[in-house]
Amino acid sequence: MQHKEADPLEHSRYAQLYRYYASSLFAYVYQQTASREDAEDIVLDVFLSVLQNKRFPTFDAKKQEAWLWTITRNKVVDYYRRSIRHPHVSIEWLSESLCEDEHQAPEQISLQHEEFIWLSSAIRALPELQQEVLRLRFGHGLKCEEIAPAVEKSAGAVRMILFRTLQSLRAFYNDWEKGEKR
Amino acid sequence: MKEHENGFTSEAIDTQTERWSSGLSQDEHRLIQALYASSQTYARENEQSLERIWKRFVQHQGYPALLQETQHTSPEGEQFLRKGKAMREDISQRTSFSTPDSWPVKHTRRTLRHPLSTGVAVAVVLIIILSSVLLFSGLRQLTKQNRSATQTGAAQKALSSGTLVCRFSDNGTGYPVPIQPTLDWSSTGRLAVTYHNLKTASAQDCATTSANVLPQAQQAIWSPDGKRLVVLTETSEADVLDVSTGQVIASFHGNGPGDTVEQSAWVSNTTIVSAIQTAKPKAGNFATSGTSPSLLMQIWNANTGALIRTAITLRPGEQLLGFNVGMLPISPNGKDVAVQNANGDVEIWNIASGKQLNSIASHQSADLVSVSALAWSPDGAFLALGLPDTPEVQIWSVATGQLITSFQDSDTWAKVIGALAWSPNGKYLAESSSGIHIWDVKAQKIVATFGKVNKPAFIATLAWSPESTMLASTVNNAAAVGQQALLENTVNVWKLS
Repeated sequence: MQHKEADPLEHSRYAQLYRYYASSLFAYVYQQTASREDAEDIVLDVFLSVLQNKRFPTFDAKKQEAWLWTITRNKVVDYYRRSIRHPHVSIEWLSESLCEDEHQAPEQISLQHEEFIWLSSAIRALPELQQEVLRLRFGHGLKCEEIAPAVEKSAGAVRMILFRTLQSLRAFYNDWEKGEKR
Repeated sequence: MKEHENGFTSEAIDTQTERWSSGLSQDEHRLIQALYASSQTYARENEQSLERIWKRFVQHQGYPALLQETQHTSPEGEQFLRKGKAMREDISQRTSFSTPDSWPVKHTRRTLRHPLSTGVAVAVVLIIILSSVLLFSGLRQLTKQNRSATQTGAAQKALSSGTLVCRFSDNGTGYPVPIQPTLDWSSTGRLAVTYHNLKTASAQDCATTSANVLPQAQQAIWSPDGKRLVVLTETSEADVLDVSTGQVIASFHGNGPGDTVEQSAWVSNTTIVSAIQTAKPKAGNFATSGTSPSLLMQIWNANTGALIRTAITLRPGEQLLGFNVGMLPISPNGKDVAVQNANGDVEIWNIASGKQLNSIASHQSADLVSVSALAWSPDGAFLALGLPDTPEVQIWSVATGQLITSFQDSDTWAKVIGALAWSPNGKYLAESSSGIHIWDVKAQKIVATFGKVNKPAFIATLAWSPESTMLASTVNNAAAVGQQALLENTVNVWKLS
């Protein structure tokens, strides 16, 4: 992120803390609220709570992580309680259109567009948890260890889910490519 | 696509799904690239969100809870604050006070841990009657405690003001850890203050008698005879310091590598009770799995550091009430300990018997882990809590599990309680944030306000003299997080009259 070079607080523990945890907390809150603005508010609120907790800097890393997740979940619960409606909107994280690449031939673009539509539909056919793990891995850049608390699974379980999901998609891919070649 | 020898493996899936990972077959590589490309727009938006949050966080670095003050200067702050305001709508409905005379007292009946929901009118009436009786008995108990204190203690004129006697500075030596200062007043009239160090001083003239005896001290509590200190250090052990010689005469480390001493309190001049967080039982993420390390209450010999016995082994998920080392969850004389269970309820455990005595209801559904302050009454009958994210104090009866009363400090820029301290005679509860208020427990009103500081200074610690006639406070700079200024800490000693 750009603030890494620019911000005078870069070297503070808060910057480090933010780098470690903000992505996964935001990914979780965004999934829960389905509102980018609300998710930003809540994550900000969580990190401001860190400042408020005068003993937080004395916790070890595990305790800090546990505390952050507890606070985040509490704030999400609080958000639910105070929201009038709780729309269960799925987050559109898959793009079916490509960023134009001037070096690509029109046929190539067309083929890739088809590929993306196909991939998108294959992903949407997956169980919800598998979709969620994909979103967190590729849309938020989280590693399995970071995905784990967001989906309330162990890191090992997340690895297995991601592994199986990719195996499935690869198999789908084979089918699609065979269809293309026919 | 052709079948291939390479393949995803669950063990290496993190590296295999890196954007530019190598060692994948052609089709695997293509799949990964397609997944990244499909989520590219979404990922960019997420990066932008994280940038925005960080910028807003930096703008608000002056927290704790100074948001409301900054809302007029920062458009982004306003956006955040609108939300914060909405979140606290219910709180704002409560009467708050800004002057001693207008501090209202709430006689709230909060739900007990197991609320009855009969819907039958008679039952409701019975509950109300029962609650009223309990509440009344709690209030009587509060009053009785004060009467008893007044009768048995030296006759004391009602307090109405505080005058500064002396002050000394105790700037921290560490960087950049904004650790909480702690303060304790001995039976012999000496103060022990920690702020990433340890300093002792005379409470009469603030003449320091020792400094930095134990660097990186987090908390120091005097023994009943005022000759020793039990000091929590950053190395997660408790040291017993003979103050006359400056020597550590015993140390307690818990039961093995990785154990940490979370809190300590004197049971007698020769025994100490400590809360020990044991090493984590197994790998994994305990934030979600619930496999948190065990918490033990252990009694040990202050002369030798030897374990005498384990009094309580708490259940997984249970933790000490109060995340702040300055918030001692152990009642006077090491009698009881306040613990928070996985549901957020506060449980009171008797240390001698190892039994749970009672539960008091969750005081708030969210943010239970961040109670801002706590104080036991001297007889251990009441627990005063500073709520998180709001400058409200609640007083709970330990015996009945009932909320007795509550009040708010609206006269603070910080919007959060900094410290609570119950006078040794049980008559007053001192509360601080950006000023010090003395609350008369019997009359249930504030009787003295003094020591006001301006943003970003914050009064995070309070300690009473044994005679309940003087009060010490610490003022430290809460704003410049990550800056040396953060470590500025001043101890003020006040004469109450």
